[in-house]
Amino acid sequence: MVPLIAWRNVWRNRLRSLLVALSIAVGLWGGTFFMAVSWGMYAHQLDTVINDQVSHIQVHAPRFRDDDDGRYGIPEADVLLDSIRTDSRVKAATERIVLPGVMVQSTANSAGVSVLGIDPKDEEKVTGLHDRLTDGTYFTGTKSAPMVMGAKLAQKLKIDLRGRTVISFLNAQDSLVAMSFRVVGLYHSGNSALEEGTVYVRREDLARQMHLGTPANEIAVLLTDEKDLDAVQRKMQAMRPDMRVESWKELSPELRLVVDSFSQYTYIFIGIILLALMFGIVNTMLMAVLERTRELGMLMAIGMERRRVFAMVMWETVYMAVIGAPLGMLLAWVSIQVVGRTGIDLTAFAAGLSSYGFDAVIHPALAANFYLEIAGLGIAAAILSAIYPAWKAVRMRPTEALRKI
Amino acid sequence: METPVIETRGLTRTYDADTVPVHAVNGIDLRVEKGEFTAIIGPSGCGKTTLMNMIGGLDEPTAGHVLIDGEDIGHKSANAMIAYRLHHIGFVFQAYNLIPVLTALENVSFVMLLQGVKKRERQQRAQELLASVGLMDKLDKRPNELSGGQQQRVAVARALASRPRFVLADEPTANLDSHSTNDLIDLMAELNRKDNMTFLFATHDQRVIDRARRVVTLEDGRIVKDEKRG
Ligand SMILES: Nc1ncnc2c1ncn2[C@@H]1O[C@H](COP(=O)(O)OP(=O)(O)O)[C@@H](O)[C@H]1O
Ligand SMILES: [Mg+2]
Repeated sequence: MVPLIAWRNVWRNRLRSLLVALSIAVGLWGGTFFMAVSWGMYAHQLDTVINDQVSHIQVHAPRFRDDDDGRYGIPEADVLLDSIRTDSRVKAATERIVLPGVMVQSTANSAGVSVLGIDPKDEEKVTGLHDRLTDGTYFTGTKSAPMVMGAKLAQKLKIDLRGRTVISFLNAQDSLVAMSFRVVGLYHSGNSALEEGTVYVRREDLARQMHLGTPANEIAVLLTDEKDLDAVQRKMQAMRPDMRVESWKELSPELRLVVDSFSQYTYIFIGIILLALMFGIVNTMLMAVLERTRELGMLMAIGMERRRVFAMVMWETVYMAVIGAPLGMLLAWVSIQVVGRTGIDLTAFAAGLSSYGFDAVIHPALAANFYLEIAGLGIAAAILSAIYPAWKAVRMRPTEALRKI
Repeated sequence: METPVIETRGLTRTYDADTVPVHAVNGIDLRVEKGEFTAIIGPSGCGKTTLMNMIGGLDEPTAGHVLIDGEDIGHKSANAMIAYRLHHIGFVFQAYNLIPVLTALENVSFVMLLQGVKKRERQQRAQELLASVGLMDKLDKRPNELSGGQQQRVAVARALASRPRFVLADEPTANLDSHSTNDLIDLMAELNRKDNMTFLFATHDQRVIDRARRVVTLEDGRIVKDEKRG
């Protein structure tokens, strides 16, 4: 009967109870929506970095990674590549010859870049480079060695399509090599660090000068489903214990950092919302308790135990939270669906964002479990904030309460 | 001699006012036997409520003792005191007796719920009690749908629901018109006669005083007169 009394008490002051329920709803709505926006940014960023650049898994020789030195190849790279391609969880895989930290020169300027020697057909399936071409051709239409370059880098080097570049590097035999390429295509990426810092050439062209002794020094693997990441990574590591098999988390620690701090900020933001909510609930429930002083005094006088009085006040709050929280979740879900479809256009700030791998248009999205988590947090906050008013209620002395008549 | 239902020994309650202490109840020795129908009277401020509250375990004496059925109820923890009141004492206050969100029937059965009485029994007894106070047709009415007199009758039914040792009623008719006052005092007298239920009420209403079978008069926290009638 105590929950019943509490339920009816909720409806005694409808306006006030509705305001509490609504403030819970709006607070959680805001928090959830904010979370969805940051999740949308985060997901897009992950997407960009994984799909445009690092893929899910990469294999290198340990010294390649330790020294950032392209002269350490993967022995029998073809064998590993062929066997990993047979795994049904693997969407696509490719091998590359990568030269990190190389100088690329145009007639006007120079820049430090990574040179990726790729197999154009395979690369298409792994990083979709072809689809991101904004100008020119995909490694065709020239007799000399072709290069595909980020549009931003081309600007920096003041080079146009058909322009010539030279890269110079130490090959596996420790001799300095200079190679000349013709720019045939320009590409774009939502990730401007990639666009400014990576050029693509054909693996076969590099192989001629590199004298690696193996077909590749990097294998990149794209999975169909991120959830298989650990399993496939373990399997590949077992296949080649001599190589270093790493996931995007290890390959792009800065991305991981951004992602982690994002969720931190999100929780801080939600924490602030919850604090504000709690403050409001404490106030409202205190008011509800104080204006019922005589009634509560009477209840304790006739023998209602304190724990029941306490429970009654708690129940009243819980009911309001249980009305407000799902309402907030519903509002959040609807708005996230709607805005998720149209997207939030941040073109005005896009220049800054894209260097972190962000796109200009954010599509808020949130997994179902977060809705539950936030609703749970909201209800927990409401329960927490009811404790003080409930405690106030049971601390009342019946005589004093009754005397207020 | 039989153990009295209520006995106070040198009962004293002093309020520490800012200037001089107020001796609201000042050394009261009172014995109330089972089945008595007693009025405590006296001018406003003479200490009636303070005395009733101490007898009902709502307030603690500064000195002296309250014995219920020979047992000293002092030295109980606050929680134990709440439980004691629930099982042994019926209360009727001047106002705010009822839970506004519960119907008459629910209000009466609520105390039995607190006592742990089974639902079927609660229901039945609450109905019987409301029938005995003449409100059989108001079972499902909430307090704000009842007149002041009807509310006080529900309060009397509620006070009896817990099968208390006695009923304490502090100014139960203060908010009632004369017709309702007569009805309520008739009702209590009837319950007193029929069930031998002990009633102790504080009042300054002459109509109630006239019906009491014992009248204890207080002045400045002391008993100045104690007369038994008929
Ligand atoms: N909480 C309190 N603090 C100080 N004085 C009080 C308090 N309660 C009652 N008194 C004083 O005690 C005296 C007796 O009050 P009370 O028992 O309410 O009398 P009655 O019920 O007969 O009108 C009065 O002088 C009153 O002012
Ligand atoms: Mg009084």
